Amino acid sequence: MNTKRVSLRKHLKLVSFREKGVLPSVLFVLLAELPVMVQPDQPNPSDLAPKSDLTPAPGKTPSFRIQRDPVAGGAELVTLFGKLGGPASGADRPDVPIVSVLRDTLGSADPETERLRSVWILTSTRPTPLQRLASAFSFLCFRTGSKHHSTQVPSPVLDLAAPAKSVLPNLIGKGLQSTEFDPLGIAVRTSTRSYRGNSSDYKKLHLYQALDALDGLERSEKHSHILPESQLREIYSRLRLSDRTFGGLVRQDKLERYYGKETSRRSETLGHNWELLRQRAELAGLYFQPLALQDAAPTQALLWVAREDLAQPANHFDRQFLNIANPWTDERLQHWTGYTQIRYLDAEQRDARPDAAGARPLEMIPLAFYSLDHPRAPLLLADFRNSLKPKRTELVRHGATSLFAGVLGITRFGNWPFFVGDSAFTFVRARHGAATDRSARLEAYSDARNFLALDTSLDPKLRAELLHRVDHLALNPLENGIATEATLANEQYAALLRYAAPGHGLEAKLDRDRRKELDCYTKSGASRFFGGVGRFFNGPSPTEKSVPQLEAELANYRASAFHQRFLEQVLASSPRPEVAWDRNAIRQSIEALASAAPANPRAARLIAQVFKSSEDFDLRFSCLRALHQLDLQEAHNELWRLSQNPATQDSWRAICLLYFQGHASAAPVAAMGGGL
Amino acid sequence: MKLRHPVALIFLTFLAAASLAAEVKRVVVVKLDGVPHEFLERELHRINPATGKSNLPWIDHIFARQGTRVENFYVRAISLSAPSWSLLDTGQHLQIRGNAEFDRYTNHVYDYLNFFPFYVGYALSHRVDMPGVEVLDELGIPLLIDHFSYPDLYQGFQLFQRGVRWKTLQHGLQHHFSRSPRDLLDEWTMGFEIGGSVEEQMERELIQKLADPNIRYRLLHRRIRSHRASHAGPCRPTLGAAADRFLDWADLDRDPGQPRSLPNHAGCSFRSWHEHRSGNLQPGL
Repeated sequence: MNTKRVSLRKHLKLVSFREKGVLPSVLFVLLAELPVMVQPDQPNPSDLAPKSDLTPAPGKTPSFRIQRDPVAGGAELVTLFGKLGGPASGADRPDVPIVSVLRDTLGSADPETERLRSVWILTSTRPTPLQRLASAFSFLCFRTGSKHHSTQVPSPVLDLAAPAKSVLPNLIGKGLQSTEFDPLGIAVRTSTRSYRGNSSDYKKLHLYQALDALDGLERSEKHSHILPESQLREIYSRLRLSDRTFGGLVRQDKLERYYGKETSRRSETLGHNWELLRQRAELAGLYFQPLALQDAAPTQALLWVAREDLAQPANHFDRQFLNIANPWTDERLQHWTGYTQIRYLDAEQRDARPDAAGARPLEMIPLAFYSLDHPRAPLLLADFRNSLKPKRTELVRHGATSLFAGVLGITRFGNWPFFVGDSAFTFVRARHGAATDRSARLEAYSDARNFLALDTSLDPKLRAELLHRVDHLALNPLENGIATEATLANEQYAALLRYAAPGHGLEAKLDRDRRKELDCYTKSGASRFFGGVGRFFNGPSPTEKSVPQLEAELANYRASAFHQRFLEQVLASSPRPEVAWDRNAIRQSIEALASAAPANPRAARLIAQVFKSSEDFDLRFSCLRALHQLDLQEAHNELWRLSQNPATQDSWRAICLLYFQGHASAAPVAAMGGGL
Repeated sequence: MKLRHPVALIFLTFLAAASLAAEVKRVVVVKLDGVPHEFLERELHRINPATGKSNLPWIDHIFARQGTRVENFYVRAISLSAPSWSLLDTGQHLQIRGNAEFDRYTNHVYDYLNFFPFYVGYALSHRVDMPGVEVLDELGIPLLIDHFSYPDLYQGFQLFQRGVRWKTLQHGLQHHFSRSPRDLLDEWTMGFEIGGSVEEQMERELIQKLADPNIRYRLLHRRIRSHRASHAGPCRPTLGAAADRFLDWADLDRDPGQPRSLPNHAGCSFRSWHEHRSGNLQPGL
């Protein structure tokens, strides 16, 4: 094989380097993320067994379940429960409510008329005055005591029917901080920034806990019956976006794409970190144990070293990505008195039963606990030889932020040289696997905390030790202990159920929200505004619709919107709707739109698009019948356009013309099966 | 046996195949690299409760319902990406026998999977062919693409690639930032994906070329990073879903030159998708 041969095809017109420059090529490669990096071949999971995978024992019962409670006024409270337990809890753990969602059903079982509204994270509560005070001091980086009881109805974290409502307060808060508080001096700046930062972190901590629970919910038929997949995705996406400044403005039709993107990103991160940590561990001669909840992907991992290996000559050790001290030269491990575990391995270093042939016992010493759910590299959460190391690292990062933003008043958006320098430094550090993103670290911590509270496969003693060590990372004075959270969640859930009972507030709120929703369908923005002002001064209008009338009208509008969304989804997903979707479902939506009381011009356009996209005989006739049935000028216009469309076959154009002229029952149409 | 490839690749090749067979108007080859057959089988049989159809509706529609399935294909040579692609693109006995090779006499390394030297080499030294193509050229083995004149081609990115489409980057970025401010805000909030814009541009170009009767060879490469996630979740089916989407674009039923009957559709073995035996696709070779 010769080495030098450059084939220049004469039809390929080369552009000189000077004309194109290096920049386009570098940009092309970097920005487009083209496949320039050769990733190592990855072995089968079965190949990984020898030194990895000490086989986490699966739990016996699902970690999460879902429950539906009726709400007065025709709604439901859908609540996600998890088997959270503290260090002392045994195998029998009570179900703890984590997230509740209000689903407005208008008293009907029809999914077309359902609408998701408020979301409550029940483990999150209002802080005590002492906690609030402590959170204003940036140097208080520890828990200042837990809140033990809460009988108040919790505040909803999000209104799914109006997610944009939270955007403006966020912007105002940030604006006030930088324009009003920051110039008032170090004392005000540090305290307000510290308070806002801790509040935000506390909210995010529980937000990530709720997301983790939603992610871990088993997708079974039983659960889908209570909370359909589409609603689950909507809740997940909206919650995930709620920690971003403009997250509430993201439109509904983008949520599905966002959900797919987020779940694949997380899945990729977990897989990448799993493999990275396993490889590094095996290179160092350590044992890698992925940890997962039942039927879920591993989200955490433990590293172990065998005591008998320590007696052998020291192995090469590279601490990159492991971030722990060399175990082969560590005297502490030679005289280790902490937690150990006896594991049995067979001749191929696989986990084995004690009575299996060839099984030999090994005394394993835990070294470190990692979160795999962290961008680019696993995050060290607990070092068994150095309890304070992860906390110290976190404190340094926290201190640096407080120093620059709080004490010195240098922020990224107020000082461009700092912005450039900080961005460059962060970019390079992040590329090398450093944990530079505070939200990502918080999420990893929240996931680990959640995992340890839910897991039943680990030895209770080990679990208690891990929980104790992970608790070292609690820097937020607003945070409560995990055992207290379970009590708070139960109490807040009970308060929420009381609130949902007839005559206790939620019913009235539901009615107000429904009237606003109906106004959105029927009135302009200005009209709604002045109507709201009038209501504020004069109280409810005497001409307001009665509840049954309101519900009936709203049901029609919601059903119409539901079918329009469905047809939009169908049209966006495939150029041939009947291939990718059930044609009966499409037909039902078309017929429902044709018979809907408030005829909608958009519905006419969608039905016409379905006609153009489809090649199904019955579906096309359904479209024409629906357009004929719709008493709208737009529907007639669409029929005319279809009859004049050169892309449509002549026979179909003739039929469209017949429908347009109102001869839908004429013999030719009837003969083709398209009569009314 | 299965392919081990660093980046899962999907190649869609549309070939106007008047010269290949008398009756067939077009041959569509969907190449999935790194997908075990059981993933496709499983996803094909799994019904999506939302749609009421298979998770891979187009593969189901075209191949399972109207096509031919071959279940006993086998790998003729080593089951690696570069050799397998060379086999499919040439229809000849293997000359490339690994993803990377080393010439012991010259110390030259042939890294057939690494695109980076290709892009840099193109910009700096006018080397317009991927290393695998250079080797095959040296040996006088033509690729399938060589049977089409340059104006008849639309080539995306693949292992055996000739030339780089710089304009794709330019148009991709232009299109990405020429959307409405509201769309840009949504995108910014959800996270920008510049890489995605290039892939979307390639998709758009492919769809445009589908409507151009003069283009007889069309190829699209879509990259899905499934390997890194293969231990964590069921990502590999996304490869099948992507293949499904390509078939969606190809929309074989819409081809006016194609009767809608079974024998005229491109039959394919999705059971052994990646395990094609070498067949001589090129008459006269």
